[in-house]
Amino acid sequence: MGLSRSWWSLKRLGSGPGRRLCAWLLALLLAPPVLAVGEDEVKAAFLAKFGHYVSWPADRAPGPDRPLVIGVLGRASFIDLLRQRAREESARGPAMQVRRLGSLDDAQGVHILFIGAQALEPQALRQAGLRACLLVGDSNGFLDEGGMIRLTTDNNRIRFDIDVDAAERAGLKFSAKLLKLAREVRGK
Amino acid sequence: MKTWSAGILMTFAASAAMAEGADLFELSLEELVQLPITIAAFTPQRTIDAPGTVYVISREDIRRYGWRDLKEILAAIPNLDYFWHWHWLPGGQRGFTGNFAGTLLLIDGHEVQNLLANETFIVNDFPSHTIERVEVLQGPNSTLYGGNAAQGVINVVTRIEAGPEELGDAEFIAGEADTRQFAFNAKRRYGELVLGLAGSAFGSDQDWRELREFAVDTERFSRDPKRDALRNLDPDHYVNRETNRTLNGRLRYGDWYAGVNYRSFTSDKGMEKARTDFGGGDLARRAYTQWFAGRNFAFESGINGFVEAVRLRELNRKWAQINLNRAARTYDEVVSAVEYSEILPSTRTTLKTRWNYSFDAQRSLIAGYDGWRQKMGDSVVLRDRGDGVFQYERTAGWRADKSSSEVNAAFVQYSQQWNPWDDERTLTLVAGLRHHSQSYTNNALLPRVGLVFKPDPDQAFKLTYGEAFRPPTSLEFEGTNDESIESQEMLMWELNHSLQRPLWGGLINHSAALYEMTAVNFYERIFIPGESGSIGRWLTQVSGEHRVRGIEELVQWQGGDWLVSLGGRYLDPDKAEFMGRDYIADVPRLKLKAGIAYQGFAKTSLALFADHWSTTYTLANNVDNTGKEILAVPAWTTLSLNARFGPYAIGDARLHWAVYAENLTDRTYYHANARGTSPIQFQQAPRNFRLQLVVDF
Repeated sequence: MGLSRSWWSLKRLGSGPGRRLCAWLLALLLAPPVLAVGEDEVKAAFLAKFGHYVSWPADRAPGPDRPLVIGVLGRASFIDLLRQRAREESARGPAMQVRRLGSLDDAQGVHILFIGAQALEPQALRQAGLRACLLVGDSNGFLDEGGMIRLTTDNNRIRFDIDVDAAERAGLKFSAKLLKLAREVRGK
Repeated sequence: MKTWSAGILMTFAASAAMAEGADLFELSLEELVQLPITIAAFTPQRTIDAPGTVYVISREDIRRYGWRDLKEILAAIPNLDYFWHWHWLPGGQRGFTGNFAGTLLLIDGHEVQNLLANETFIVNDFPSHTIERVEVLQGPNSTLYGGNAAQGVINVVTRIEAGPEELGDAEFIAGEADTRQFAFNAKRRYGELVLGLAGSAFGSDQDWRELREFAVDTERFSRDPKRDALRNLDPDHYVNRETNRTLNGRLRYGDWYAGVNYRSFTSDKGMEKARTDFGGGDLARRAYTQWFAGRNFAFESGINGFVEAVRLRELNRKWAQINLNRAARTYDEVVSAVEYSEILPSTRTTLKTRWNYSFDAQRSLIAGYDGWRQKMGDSVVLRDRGDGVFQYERTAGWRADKSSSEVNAAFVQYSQQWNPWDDERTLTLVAGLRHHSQSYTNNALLPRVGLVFKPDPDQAFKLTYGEAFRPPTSLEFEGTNDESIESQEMLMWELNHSLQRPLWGGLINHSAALYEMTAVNFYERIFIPGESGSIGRWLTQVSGEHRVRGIEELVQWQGGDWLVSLGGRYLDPDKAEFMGRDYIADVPRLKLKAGIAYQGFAKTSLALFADHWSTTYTLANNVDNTGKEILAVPAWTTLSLNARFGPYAIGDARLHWAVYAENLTDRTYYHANARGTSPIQFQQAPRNFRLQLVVDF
């Protein structure tokens, strides 16, 4: 193993860096737009996981005949990741759907709604009064605006804060395990 | 054209399934909460899952122990040596020494080695206030990271890159020796657009009484009568000033991103005054600006990756006292000859791309390409032609014919996990290979293979074999007539046990590694003092083969209000021989680190960190200057204390303040000089205090 003498000469790679760069840029521009990677992947994993630790009213709860529906409003850089996961989950267990929403009006039937930063006016969430919908976000004032779970970066990790009262007003209950793992729990 | 074509084809072929984060979905909620992000496999994963040995120093560690900059943070790594000689931070990992020439330094994954020598260049210009975490990979990692990752990788992750999306804070530090530091972070999201800006300014006279007295102590410090006769040995003329500025910017819009890393550093070591290092510049300025832009991709079919272009522009300037008068025998005869030298602006343009594909939850593939074109500026000096007219001359020995170079490298890494026991035990194979082609040196095929056995999800036994290399640079050709210089090669075997699980109401992180690393064509730049008081010259020394065996351990427990860490290393390196006596050259065999932090008091937290180095041996001129001797640099233990208070509300802002005592026991301690240059030891800062204010807006 190890180093070997030049058996692949650089000269065989040709010249004309400008032409090559143009080719790369062309490739860049033609490729379809999708998502960024990074902390969003971990946030997406949280979003897919929360459903196991929340109880919905019986008439709204996901079950064998009613897939868990995750909606994404506003920034949705990880929606493709969630969709892929939804396909895998649905293939081997209870079904899961992921929807990209245009507004809160599209949230009917959504069990978990992720709201990107600045996707809504501050008062919009409270005024909408969504029932049986777990509201998750990652903006600074999300819990003050009526959100139930706020994802945040803390000490090199993704953590979450919870507002129990906001959830109960919407008819949701959190498991003790979720509350135990939260960085901060508001209410009650 | 083959490599470029292959890259373009890869871009278009990206059409399978999105699954880089597939493993993340398999983690429990407890694991997600504790998931630290590492760079070890280019994808987010827990440190115990990453092949090899990885340390992550988090913002929490930095904040509680009160470390001011990267130098102080690196002291927490058990098997990393450095000596602070007040110009920059030379050192190495795992018992190897030099100018950190075998360590790859990254800022948010972008390489910022200096172009002249491909060295990790660290001064006081990495303020910890702007750092979210520091990731240190131990051992060869060239397969994924390319040249220079021979001893390991240091990745400085900034707050504006990986911290919260809404940031606004500032830090002020004032300390002894007229030390001042200001740093800030600002980050904001506007819909899809995320903007981040961080910067800092640092200045210090670094002129403690103990240091100025030591620098003119010819018996303890220099032991070189010829050169001492040409120095100003008046301690009142001692100058050791440093100032620097940094600015980092980040922009992200959807899948597109761009950024800039800027650093400017000025070191005034007293031109025409008392020198602290014969080889260093007297008044030097180094600056670089790095621009990068790229785009992330992820496709429904499961392939994801990025394409990125990077441009680094570097500047090196130096005003030096230089003895053009070869007949000079006194300091007064020397001072009239001051020379300005410069490496004219140098640039490196890099194109890199990497693609990941997960076939399923057990199998994944990473492939990528790195290529750069580099143009070194000439090394020039401004000289008097003799008629009072100054003009630039190319430095003697500078190899202008080696100033343009290029690299083309492609790599692939395959990972497969098995679950043959039908329980939670898993076995994972990670195998990678890089082909690296570079001007003026031999091509390289660099493999890395890791086998990770996890008896349960919280611990792993990792067996790793890796090869790495470090190619020569323009500086290493200087003064030679070689058409090519063979790359340094590093081979490593390592067995690591890592554990990360709840314990006593907290979380314990542990990593222990037993390793053997062998450097082939191990070389470093050494300084050969000149005759008759002339400055001398640098040469590339090839030392043949050097092997280091060692064991290193770091365990940390964090729970409630407590943070406790304990680390250490024990080395068994090849010994040097002098006058029939074997000795371990330039590095201590044993190092121990211990830290404890408590934040249970109202608005008060305390932290203590102890650092112990055993006796270090180095070859030095003997006291009567009749030859050389093996000098023992005594063992030392430093103790540093950080007391932090707050938060206090001031309107919407929150204020913390802290007092940091460095080297609390006030023991005089030294770092041995591991670069083969004189002087042979460097005194470190005596006990000193500093005050820190942090405001979060």
